[in-house]
Amino acid sequence: MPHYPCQTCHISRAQILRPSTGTRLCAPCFTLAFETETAATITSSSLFHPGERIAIGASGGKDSTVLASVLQTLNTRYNWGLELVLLSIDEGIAGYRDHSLEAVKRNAEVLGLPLKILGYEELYGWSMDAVVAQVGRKGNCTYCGVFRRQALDRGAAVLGVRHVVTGHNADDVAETVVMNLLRGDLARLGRGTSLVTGTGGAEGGFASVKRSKPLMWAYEKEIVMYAHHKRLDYFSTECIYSPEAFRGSARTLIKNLERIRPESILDVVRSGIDMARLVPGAGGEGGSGSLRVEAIPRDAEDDTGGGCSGDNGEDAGGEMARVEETLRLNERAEEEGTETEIRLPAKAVNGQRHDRDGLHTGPPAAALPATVNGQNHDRHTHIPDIAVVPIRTKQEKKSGRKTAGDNLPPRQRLGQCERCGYLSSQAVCKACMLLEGLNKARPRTGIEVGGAGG
Amino acid sequence: MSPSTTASAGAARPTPPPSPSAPNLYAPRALTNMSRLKASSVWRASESDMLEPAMNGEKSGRTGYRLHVLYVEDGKGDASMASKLFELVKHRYPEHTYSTRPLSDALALPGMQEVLRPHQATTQASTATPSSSDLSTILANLTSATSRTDLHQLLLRKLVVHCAQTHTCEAILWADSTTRLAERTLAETAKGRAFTLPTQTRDGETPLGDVPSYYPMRDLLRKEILSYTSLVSPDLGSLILEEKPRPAVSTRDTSIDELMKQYFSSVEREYPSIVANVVRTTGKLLVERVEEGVEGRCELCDVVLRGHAPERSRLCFGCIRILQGRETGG
Ligand SMILES: [Zn+2]
Ligand SMILES: [Zn+2]
Repeated sequence: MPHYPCQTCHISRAQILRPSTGTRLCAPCFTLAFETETAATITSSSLFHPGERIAIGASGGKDSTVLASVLQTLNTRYNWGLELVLLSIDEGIAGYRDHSLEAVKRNAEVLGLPLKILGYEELYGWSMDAVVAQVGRKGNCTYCGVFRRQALDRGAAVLGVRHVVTGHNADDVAETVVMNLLRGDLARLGRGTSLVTGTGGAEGGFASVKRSKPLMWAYEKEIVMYAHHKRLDYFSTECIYSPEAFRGSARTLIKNLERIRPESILDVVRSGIDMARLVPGAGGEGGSGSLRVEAIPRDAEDDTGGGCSGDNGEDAGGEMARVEETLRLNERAEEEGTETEIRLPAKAVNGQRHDRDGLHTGPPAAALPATVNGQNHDRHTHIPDIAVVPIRTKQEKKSGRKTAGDNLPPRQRLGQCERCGYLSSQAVCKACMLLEGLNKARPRTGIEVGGAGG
Repeated sequence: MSPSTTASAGAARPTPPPSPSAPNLYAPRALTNMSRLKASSVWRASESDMLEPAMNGEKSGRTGYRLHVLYVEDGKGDASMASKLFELVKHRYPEHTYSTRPLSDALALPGMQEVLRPHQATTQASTATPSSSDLSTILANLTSATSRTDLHQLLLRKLVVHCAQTHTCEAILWADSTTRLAERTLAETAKGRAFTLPTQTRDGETPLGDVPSYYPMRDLLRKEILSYTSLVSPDLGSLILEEKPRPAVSTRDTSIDELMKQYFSSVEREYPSIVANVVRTTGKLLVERVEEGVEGRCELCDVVLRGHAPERSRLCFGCIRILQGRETGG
């Protein structure tokens, strides 16, 4: 490879070809540029306020390790006065988190940041090992996924922190965009692409903890480069499960896209943001990000902080096959001209289907093919999550076509779980439902549901 | 619209590409589309209420739509074979009107010289009709397969719309299958242009002009259309340009469009309803609100510039990328 001078300082030899800009830089110029760009993401959106206490969701993986390092660097450099703390979640599976938590501990020491490791045991009263002992291996992933969804928020509340940052990068966000297009899930497009979710308000306990992803414009490749050149110590998680089908499919596609045109990762992210703006009821055209913030709930898939998202014991292809089957049944129902609403027995396995999907403001459901879903519509009794796919009659469809995509139900309003206050379309959120089942089967005394819920 | 006056310019563009940068787009399907319309009595009207009267008309003896079939020669690949097939199509369906235009004619459309050949625009040469070799030069100077495909499609679209206007057609029928629309959905997403999808893949008005576009085969998978061509009698095999299978590798010479095509051909096999669902999903998006006549539009692709272009630019981000695709090496 020929030698190029650094395009920034023009002195040192370039060591890095940045995928985001195509420029060749020396290592010090690259790390400085990476930090400056992250700072720009933070300041241009007023992400933090001076003196704010911020919990960094730390999994020991590269993304959260880089995030912690960059935030610590910027906090010192710009005198932001942030109070940073590392927050790690331990599912309580013997041996599973050992290595990654060791990496987090070493990082905490090197960066001089306080570290809090919270187990499912402390957050929910049940470690995953205890859950498995109770419910068996089959289906335990549901618990793990549902608990993970709230774990960082509950953990933050335990620490008295109102803002959690996670290490999601541009590749993750692009994947989510493609995945939600494949799933046909417009509602999730907005959540996946917004910099901030949650209000961070003092009210509402852990349910309103603010979440943000300061690295959402950073390429995964550059995060790896940054970690390398800063000699950061992280644990490369190889997920023991095959990634969930949609995500696996989307990931491969994003990697191939990057090879063809590196800029396309950010282009996908921009497209996602544009589409989120154009979702009917999403706050309308030109709506600012903050408009959508309050109602944007989190997804389980957003909660892994760059670590392993192995919340899925199901064979790859499972969700895709299920969505496929549901769509086919919908088509058949449509051909028969019936107004039907088919409910998809979602992800019984990892709870990735969000509560919100269960909220449907359309006409009451009609025929419910037993083969699709033998479940009860009563929101209080169903355990596995359900997604609703509303079907329009032909008549509606024709008129919908003319008025350009007004066929979504009006803006969905999320309620709060009456027990823990977490955003939920159901009266009681899924975590609380699962906990109720667990606690009923083996009553335990002295442990409150949730760390700071009440 | 009144059925008796509706004409259509089906874009028949044979692309027989040994070049990987030219996905085979319109030819077989446009031809299929047309023959289906005329030869089939098993047409499932589905969402295409436009074509229903045509079929009914045929049965009841009333006049259906008048079709104007347009073949755009792009001078690429096996052009002589494509032209030969076009002759066969004319012969098989003599009731339609046919015309042929070279793709380079799009360069003569208003504004194109200034954007694509800024150096020649000011000289005498600009008065001459642009030739196919001018087009080849422009395409060859682009730095990536994606840019070439983009510009190619953009010019094709512009030319078809222009011809439809010239022939006072009331609608344009595109031969895109649901698979093709899904490919375009993800390709445009990958190019940062997802905001144009509602107007690009939906039946009805387009930002390009007064002639609305329709996709009568929008509910059909590519594989279904291919099956149909052999099941109908007489079969259509002899009228269709064969698609040469291309190696399913992803290199930097592949275009984004080609990547999406490979991707969906595998999804189509296992999860056909998901392909259709991608198209339906983006079809639900709102069209960006535009203050007609007030807002500046991209001089190449006609999207509204606000929010999609650098300040004071006459081109949108997407078109800037087409024309200035940079080499990234590595
Ligand atoms: Zn330098
Ligand atoms: Zn443009």
